Amino acid sequence: MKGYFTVEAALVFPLAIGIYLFLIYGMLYQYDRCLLEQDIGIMALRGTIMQSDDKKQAMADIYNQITINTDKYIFLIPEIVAFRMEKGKVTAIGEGNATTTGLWLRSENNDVWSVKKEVTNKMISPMLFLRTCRKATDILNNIEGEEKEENDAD
Amino acid sequence: MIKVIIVVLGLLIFSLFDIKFKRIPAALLLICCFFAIGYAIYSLYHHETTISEYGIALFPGVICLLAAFATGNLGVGDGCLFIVLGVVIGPVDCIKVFCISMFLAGIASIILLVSKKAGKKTSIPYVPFITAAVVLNSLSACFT
Repeated sequence: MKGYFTVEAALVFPLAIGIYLFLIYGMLYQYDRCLLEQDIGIMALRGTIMQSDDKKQAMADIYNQITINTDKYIFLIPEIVAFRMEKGKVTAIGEGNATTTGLWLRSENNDVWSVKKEVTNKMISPMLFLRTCRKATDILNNIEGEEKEENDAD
Repeated sequence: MIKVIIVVLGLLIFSLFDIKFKRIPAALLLICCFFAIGYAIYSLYHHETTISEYGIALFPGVICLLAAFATGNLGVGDGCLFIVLGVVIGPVDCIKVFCISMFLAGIASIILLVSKKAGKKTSIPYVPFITAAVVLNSLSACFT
């Protein structure tokens, strides 16, 4: 079996492989970034509809309920940095640092391949939310009824 | 550690053949292939690795083989050797070794081109670079 490598290939190959690996890594990093932003968004959204007299207990409940499933992440190690409920607002902050699996793309401060996402939402009372939903349903039903009546009249 | 020493010794033998004849002995590679399959079955049986990891480990070898068949700038033996190496040393180390060896071969090629000792189509043995990459990778793992 032939076991050689032409000088030309030795120059072209590392470049091509490097570009491909960088592209693959970049795409997977973007995938993980989207996933982390989505998880933090969901966490903040759930926090907005949480209703409890004891805020600390409510926060602990959410924190225990919403744990980020790390299995679906490829390169990032996700972490919930902070979860606050104050002044009628819910803030969720998440961070993810890249594990490079030995590709040496990690910078010294590790700030290039890391993600930080902060989501702040207004808290909504579940009762108010349900009432608003019912109102919206009633309005939609009325509109549909009026449209039916108009169609029947035609 | 023993695994690395065996791999390096095997690669040194292949390197000697490659430097002298620019060929890799198929019979020797076949024997290594049988050992690698045995090792793979042992690792799978003891849940040390998974099939998907082996799939990733074959990646450098398959790339080499594709390049060998498509361009002819690479030997088929190098691709086969990388497939065997990937099964033995694992996916992460195999990709590391692949990158390091490519890098080393690139540097050597630049030196050869600059010193006008070789042209664009001159062939150079690749297995010594793989051996050097395995040694460097093992040393870096030891020191970190």
